[in-house]
Amino acid sequence: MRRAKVLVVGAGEAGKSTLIKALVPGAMNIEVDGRTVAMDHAVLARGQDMLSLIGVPGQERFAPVRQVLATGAACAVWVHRAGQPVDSSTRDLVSSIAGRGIPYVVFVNREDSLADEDGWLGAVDFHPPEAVVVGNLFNPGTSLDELQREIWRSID
Amino acid sequence: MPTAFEQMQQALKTLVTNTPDLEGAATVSLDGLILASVLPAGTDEDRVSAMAAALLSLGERTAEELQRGTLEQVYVKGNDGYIILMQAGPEAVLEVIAGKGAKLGMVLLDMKRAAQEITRLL
Repeated sequence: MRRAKVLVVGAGEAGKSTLIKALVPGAMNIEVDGRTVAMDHAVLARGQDMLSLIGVPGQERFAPVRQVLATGAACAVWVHRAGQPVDSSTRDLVSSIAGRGIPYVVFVNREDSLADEDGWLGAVDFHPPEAVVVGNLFNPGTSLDELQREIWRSID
Repeated sequence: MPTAFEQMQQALKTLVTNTPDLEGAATVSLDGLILASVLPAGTDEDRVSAMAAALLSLGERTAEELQRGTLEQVYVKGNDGYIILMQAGPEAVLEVIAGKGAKLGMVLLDMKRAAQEITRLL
C-alpha cells in the first residue's frame, strides 16, 4: 500500500486547480476570487495505492509557499497553458524538481487555444518530462485518463 | 484630510508604538498583496504578505475541516517571538510581529481594536 505526493505546478491561471477538480470532483481548493492562495488537495486512488495531489498557488509572490509544498513530492505535473510564456518562477521550480531526479509529466492545457505550441518545451534546458499530455480543460475527453496513466507510470 | 491608506498606516503605527513588545504590523489583502505596513527594515514585504494570506486561509480551512468554528487567529510561535494573524474585515488580514516577552492577552486586545479600525477604513 503506497502513499505518494504529486505536486501540481504551473504559472498562475494555467489551469492547475481546474485540472485537479476535473480529476477529483470535490477537491479542496483554498482560493480568493478564483486564485489559489494556499493550496489544492485531492486524492487519486488505485487499489490500495493513494496519490495526494497538491496544487500550488501560481502567482509569483507565492514562491515561498511553493517551496514548502514541494517537499517530499514523488512526482510532479506541470500544467502549461498553450500560448503562455514559461515564467521564470515556474521554470525554476520545474528545474529544481527535475534536478532532484523527481519525474514529471507535462499537461498542456489547450482550452480552445489556436496557438501553435511546439517550441516551448524544447526551449527549457532541464531534464525532459516522462510524458506530455495535451488536453482541453473545457472539454477534456480522454486526456485526463491519459494523464492519470502517465502519473501512475512515473511513480511505479 | 488623510487618505484611507494614510489612516491605515497610522493605525498600524499606533498599534506598534502603543503595544509593548510589538516589532511590526502589516495589513494584507486576502490574496496576498500588501496594503500597508510598519515592518522592520529589510523585511521582504511581498513575500511576507503572500505567506500571511496563505497562512490565514489555511488556518481557516483547517478550522472548518476540524469543526473548530469561525477562525479567530492564526498564531505562530518561534524561539524569538510570535506572529499573529487575524482577519480585519471581509477583505484584509492584520498581521503582527511580537517579541518573545509579549503579553498575548494585551496584544490580542490591541489587535482587535486595530482590526476594527482597519475594517472601517476599507
